[in-house]
Amino acid sequence: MSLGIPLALRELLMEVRALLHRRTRDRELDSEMRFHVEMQTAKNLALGMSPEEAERSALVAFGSRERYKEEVRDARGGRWIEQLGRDVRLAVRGLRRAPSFTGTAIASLALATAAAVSLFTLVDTVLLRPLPYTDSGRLVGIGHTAAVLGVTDPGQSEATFVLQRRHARSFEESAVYWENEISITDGEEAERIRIALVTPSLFRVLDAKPHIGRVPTDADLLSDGMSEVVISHELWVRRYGADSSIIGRTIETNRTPDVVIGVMPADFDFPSVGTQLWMPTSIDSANPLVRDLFMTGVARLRPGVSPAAAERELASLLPRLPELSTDATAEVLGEGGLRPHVTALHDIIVGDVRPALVILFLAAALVVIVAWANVASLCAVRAERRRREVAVARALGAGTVQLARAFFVESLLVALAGGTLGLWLAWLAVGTRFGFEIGQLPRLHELRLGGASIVLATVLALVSAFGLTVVSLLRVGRLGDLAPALRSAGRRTTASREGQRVQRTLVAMQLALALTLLVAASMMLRSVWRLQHVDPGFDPRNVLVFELNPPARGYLQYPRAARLHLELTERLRAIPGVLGAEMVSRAPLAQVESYLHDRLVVDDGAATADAQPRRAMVNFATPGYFALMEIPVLEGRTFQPGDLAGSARMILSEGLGRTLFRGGQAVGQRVRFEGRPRLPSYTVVGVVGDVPGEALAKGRVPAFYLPTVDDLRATPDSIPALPYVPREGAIVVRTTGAPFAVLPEARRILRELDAKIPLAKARTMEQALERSTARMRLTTILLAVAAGTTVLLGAIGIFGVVSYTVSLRAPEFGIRLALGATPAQLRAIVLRQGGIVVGAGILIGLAGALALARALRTMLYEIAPHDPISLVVVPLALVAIAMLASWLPARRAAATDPASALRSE
Amino acid sequence: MPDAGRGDLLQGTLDLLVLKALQVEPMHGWGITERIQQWSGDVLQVNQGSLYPALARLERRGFIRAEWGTTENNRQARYYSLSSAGRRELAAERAHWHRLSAAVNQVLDVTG
Repeated sequence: MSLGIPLALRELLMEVRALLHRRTRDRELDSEMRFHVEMQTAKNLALGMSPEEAERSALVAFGSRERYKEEVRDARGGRWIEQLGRDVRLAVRGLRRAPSFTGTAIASLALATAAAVSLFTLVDTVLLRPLPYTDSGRLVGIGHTAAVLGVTDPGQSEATFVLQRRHARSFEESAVYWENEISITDGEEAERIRIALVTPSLFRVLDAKPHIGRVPTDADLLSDGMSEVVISHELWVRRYGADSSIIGRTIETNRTPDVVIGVMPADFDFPSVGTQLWMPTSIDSANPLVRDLFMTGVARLRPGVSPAAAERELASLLPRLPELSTDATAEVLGEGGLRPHVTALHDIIVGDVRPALVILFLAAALVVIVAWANVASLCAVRAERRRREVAVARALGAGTVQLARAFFVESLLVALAGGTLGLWLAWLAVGTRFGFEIGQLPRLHELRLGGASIVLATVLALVSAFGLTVVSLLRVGRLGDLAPALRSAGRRTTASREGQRVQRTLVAMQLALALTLLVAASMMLRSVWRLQHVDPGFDPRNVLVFELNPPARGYLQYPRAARLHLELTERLRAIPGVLGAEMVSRAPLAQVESYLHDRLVVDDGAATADAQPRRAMVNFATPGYFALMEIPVLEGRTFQPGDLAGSARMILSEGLGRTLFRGGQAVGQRVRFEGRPRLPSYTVVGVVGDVPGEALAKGRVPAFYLPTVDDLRATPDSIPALPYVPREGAIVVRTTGAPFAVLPEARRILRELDAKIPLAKARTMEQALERSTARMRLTTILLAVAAGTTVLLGAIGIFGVVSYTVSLRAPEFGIRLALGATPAQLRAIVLRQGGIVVGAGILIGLAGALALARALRTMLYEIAPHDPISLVVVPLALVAIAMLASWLPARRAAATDPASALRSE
Repeated sequence: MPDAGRGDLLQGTLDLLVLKALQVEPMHGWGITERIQQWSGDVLQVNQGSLYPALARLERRGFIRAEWGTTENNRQARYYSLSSAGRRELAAERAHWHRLSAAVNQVLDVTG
């Protein structure tokens, strides 16, 4: 029984049912009515009428069957769905007949939707969505700046952390951690992984639960023996086969055993996406380190406490630092040398990516606006062309509501088609993560197209449909326009002239936006080109690089590590296809957290020398390194055997040599390490070319090179005291063919030498170069695509507007021709009109372009924000395109046949 | 405005009569027409075709149900029957009709 179902729902069900069974019901009704008439006929026969009279009388008594059939159909319902179906069919037919309008409109809307949805998803994931931790609004990061120490990396030291834990009341729970890389040395193949050393309280701060097992507690720190570690889900699956017996099992890291007590869930990514293992660590509260601010602090605020209040509390506690340590610096730091910063964790993770996202967002917004303007003007033109059709419909009795419904159905179809296509494009874009690699943008791994995006796309489609309906209705004019519309498709009404102005403004705006994007894209393109063609200072072709990280255990004595490097490079050279193999402690473009650096100062001040200490990167290199990398030796020589055993020698990079010796000769001069009086002064034996540091765009880094142990028989006593011990290093191999071809052999050799040392981060130099430009290239591509699209849309817009003007003025041209004007003059008239629109657009666009270029400044490489080439060539190109778009209709105007033009009026 | 000729029925009244006709037993369309004519002593001449829209309305509102069946002559016909909601509606409309006609009578009987 249908008692429980609300009336409206029942009605809807009946409508649908009626629609589905319509044909059956019609047939049934027909036979029902026939039966009725037959029965009546039979009765009439029984009453004595003749067969013909009986039938006729029965039919008359029944009444008009058709009429009653209609009434039954009305009573049954399903009417308005039928009506809707008819509207849709009509709209589809109309759209099929105008393929260029339909295609362009759908494409434009698809682009707009794709841009809007993709950007929304990106911004939502990276900026807006809260972090995936319980009550993440209360999570903060704690750091300090210490201007007096010249330390640029803010962080926490053991002392600040102890102070905070002991006295601060703003935090419910707090922890510190720092990241490192270690080797997993158990099993067949050693592996290099990222780990985090954490205080066990970290898991309480984040309220993080393990997938299996448990997380470390403070009690674990007290136990002697193996570290209780937690591993990541990815590591567990990849290396240990997702075996649940991992809990309690011993693994080996850096040759020391640890016991696994838990596995984290797959989506736990603190502090980095690539963190594979968490090792609990304790803080020495009896004698904490004071000035080494190498740890990162994270905490959960008590409810109701703001980060600013917490910061103030920390600042007030700092003067108590000296209570914790006898270190003299504690007092200096406590008395204002140290400034605490408490920042929302979300802001820290997301922080410096905001400008790039804002730019992308603006570009997307521009695309959306231009696309919408395009579709609106296309729609307006189309509505204008259908005036006659509409006038006829009106004359036959169609009201505004019916017209609106017809327009709406058409607009909705276009909008939904465009929206669906756009959503699909956005899904593709999100699927490829816009080409970004994980780590290039924060929280990128959380990117996915959610329900909100679908809702957004639907809303956009509906809004577009409404807007387009309104535009069409407005253009079609008011009811009073019937007569002139019927007479001549309403060509000369004032409404159409006003409409022209609106259209021209729209197109001018489109051009302005197109120019803005085009100029920005041009600047970025030039930056990327420059960057890709910048001389890296070495020959990157066919060079394989990988890193070795021998653990302290077993390699504590420097010669041991150096022997490993020597043996490895010697055996690598023996591989066919290898031209050379050398060792350097830090290869160019190596991605490391931080690099060793120190300050050099000139010894025995020569007259031209610079007395200031200069900061430079520390590097070790084998003698053949510079030749292998084709780094030019500008002065003096490279290292020779015996350089290490003799008096201290070093090689400077060009930039460093220039700053230290102000253009004078560097070879033969002596330098000292600033602030390390126990080290001897070093003689400069050579100057080599600079090479880039971490990123190509950041330019070349001043560095100095020290010689490595070159004698396999060297013992710790035979080498002098070194300022640094290069245990870790990179091996560079130049090959004749593809560099990766020698990798398996290299791995085998390394395994033979020491199976517990992984061969890490294998890459070619060319790959490293490419990665350096990756992000810039990506933004450029996006901008270029956006720019290209808007130019295309703008050109179509111009073409449309000018064509329309030409068709509007055809009779006028006919008259002019008849009165003696030449076709060339007509062409000029049209071109001039087009030119005005273009001119206006270009001027506004230039202003916008300059503004956008200023915003892009940080991303440009050696291109000024007022780059003359971009600002001159690009507008000219756009003008050319626009004028070409006007040319075609202009030619059509010139070819007007005066007779037919006049006749059509 | 429906014709006010003799015997022509307003829509609502026809619905009521149909419900009454079906009160006793299920019937097909022609049978309903006959029954109404019979009971009314041939005063009410139902314009036969107008029965079917009325049946469709009543079916839609859930007061009657329909299914195909066989007549005595072994012909296929669509039989309508009252639902329980229909019975309730019949009772309610009947009461309403009585009140209405009583009121109209009262007015018409007023002398002067």
